[in-house]
Amino acid sequence: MPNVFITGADRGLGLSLCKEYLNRGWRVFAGKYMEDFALLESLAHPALHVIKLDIGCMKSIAAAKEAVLKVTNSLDMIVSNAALMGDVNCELYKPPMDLEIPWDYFRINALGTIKLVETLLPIMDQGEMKRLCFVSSEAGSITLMKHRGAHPFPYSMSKAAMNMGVRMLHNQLYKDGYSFRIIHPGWMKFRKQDGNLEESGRFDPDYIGQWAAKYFETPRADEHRLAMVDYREYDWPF
Amino acid sequence: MIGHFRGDNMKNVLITGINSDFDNCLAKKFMAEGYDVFILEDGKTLGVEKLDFFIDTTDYVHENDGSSVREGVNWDAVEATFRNNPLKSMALLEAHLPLLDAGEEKRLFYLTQSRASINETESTTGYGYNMSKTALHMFIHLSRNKLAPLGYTFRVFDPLTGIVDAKAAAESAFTYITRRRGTDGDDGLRDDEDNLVIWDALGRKHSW
Repeated sequence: MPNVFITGADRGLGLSLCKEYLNRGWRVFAGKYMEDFALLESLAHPALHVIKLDIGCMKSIAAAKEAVLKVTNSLDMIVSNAALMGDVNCELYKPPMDLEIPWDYFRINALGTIKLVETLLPIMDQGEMKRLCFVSSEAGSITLMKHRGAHPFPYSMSKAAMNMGVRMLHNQLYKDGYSFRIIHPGWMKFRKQDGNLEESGRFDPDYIGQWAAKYFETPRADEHRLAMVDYREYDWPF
Repeated sequence: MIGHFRGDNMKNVLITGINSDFDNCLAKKFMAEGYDVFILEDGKTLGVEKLDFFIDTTDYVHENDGSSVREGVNWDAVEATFRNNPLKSMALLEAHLPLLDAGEEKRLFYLTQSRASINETESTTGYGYNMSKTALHMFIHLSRNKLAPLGYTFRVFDPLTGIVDAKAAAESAFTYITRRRGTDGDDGLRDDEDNLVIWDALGRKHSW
């Protein structure tokens, strides 16, 4: 039974990916952050292991590793999906900018992502697939940002920084047998506590989750190439 | 302000700090060319009504930011780097924007290194520097989207420290900062100012 660790599994794409991999016969370690969401537990699957995880906290990441080791000494895949997002007041011409806001975005979306991989790397080394998957965004594409109007700083900056971190992981770990996936999942509807979807957003996370689970799992002919793709598997520039 | 060096060409240049030989050579070059040069010190006000050139020399490298994920990244060094490279630059621009709005040139200059290009880097260490500069690159793009319609232009530069002599790099930077980039009349599609790039001291363009 292959093992996957999925962050941000409380709702949305993370939750959908948990369902997908459980249905595909994987053991799923699901990082849970939101105490007031019980959608994950409601899956009630024997191969599901819910682990408390604050991706912005180094101690929490270390504790998650210990929780995995109580069950298995090998992981095949990490899906880094947890992210801080939303409207924030951090703009030029609206002084003073609260610089703790972008710092929180960096800490969670960029640094926490790389720290998680660093921490779980010894367990991943024991796995067969060695696949590292990251949920990024077109909002982190520096190249295409020239076409966007005024846009909040923190989220885009943090996703661009995360993409750099993944590039550096790729530089080192590809030669060790690791393969990588980066996706721009598109604008998904939020799933509410009652399990229903909000109106705003374009995609049902279950629809994106079905595609992403397959994309993450399926070998590519060009594994040596680090690429960010959307649900159509179109390439996006960094 | 720790230094105000009066020139005669009526253009004000703010240099946010002198932290390297390159910064020092660039400041001297602006002075030699007759610019009014202001060098910033924390907590001091400039005492001017406008700024024309904004030279952000923030380029923080932590001595312990040299480990890979196999060796163990020093996350305190990474945080210190992030609190300088993008965050200090964000605060500096916000603080001086009113003076730049009143200036004529409205040209902003930032330092980086080509190893902080996602497309080009071969680094396996230096997570703090590379990731923080990538965040800065995005900040520059987002700022450009906001400020270019107001007449602002941007320069992003790699002085190639250790490869190109600091004085020669400063000469390259001075030309890059003060010279307008090419345009073919009123054809907006052929105006290189619209093409935000990283240039290095040898005149090479790098992708983001």
